[in-house]
Amino acid sequence: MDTHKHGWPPCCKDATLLAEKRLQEKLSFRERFGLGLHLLYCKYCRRFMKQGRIIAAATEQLLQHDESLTLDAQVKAEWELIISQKIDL
Amino acid sequence: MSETTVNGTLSPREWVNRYADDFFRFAMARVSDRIIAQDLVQDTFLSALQSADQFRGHSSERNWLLAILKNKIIDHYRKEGKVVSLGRLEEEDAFFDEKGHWRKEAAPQPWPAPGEQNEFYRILRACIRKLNGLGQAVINLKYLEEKKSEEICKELSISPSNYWVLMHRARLHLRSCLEKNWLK
Ligand SMILES: [Zn+2]
Repeated sequence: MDTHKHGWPPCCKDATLLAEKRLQEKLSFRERFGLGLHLLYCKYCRRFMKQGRIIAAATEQLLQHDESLTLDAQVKAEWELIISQKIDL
Repeated sequence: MSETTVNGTLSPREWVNRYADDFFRFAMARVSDRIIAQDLVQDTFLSALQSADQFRGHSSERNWLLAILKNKIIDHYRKEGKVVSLGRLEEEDAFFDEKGHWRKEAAPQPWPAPGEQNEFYRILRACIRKLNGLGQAVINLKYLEEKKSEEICKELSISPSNYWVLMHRARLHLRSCLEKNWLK
């Protein structure tokens, strides 16, 4: 899929992918170890991981309370009209 | 309102009241476009009316309608060619060089303690809308519907490794979009 070699310890591209997985599920020992090692010396990926957590929490907050996810009353009224017209045909 | 019953089991006059909000949310999580989501739900009700005589009562009215909506969404994905297309696979190259290191201009900068929360949310919302269709779909299914990764793979017909690629890419885009627009 990707062109670069998967080295050890993981490069930033691989480490950030592991960081993404880490936000959602448990990593294998090898993955956890590789990520941990990388984070020891890479401040950018440390930031990515920290900011990723902030983004995840904020995204959840935002989407759970998103008002754009409610239908206009007008649209619903229109649908009711269309449906009742079809039934009465 | 006795005339609302078709076939003795369906109550089309109640559909909007009972299901429209839920179904719209369901569709929005998958297509992320109000107009398209509204059309899909409306189409669902109309096709359901047309095939009302096929309703056998094996499933509940709600599940029967939801199955129709799911098919409409799949058709929509198919038309857009979204099921197979993951977009350019090298998209991460905007963030990482050929060795897999952060590009200088893309490397994460420190963020200040979040001050104005509303501003942060406003920009985050705009950034989510800028993601491509599949990117929005994985984000919505994960954070709006709180689905597990296996369920999302199944629903979007993608492999687990593609799921992680999409999530990774979406997070990279969101992070850099936030940094560009919020830290100014
Ligand atoms: Zn790194």
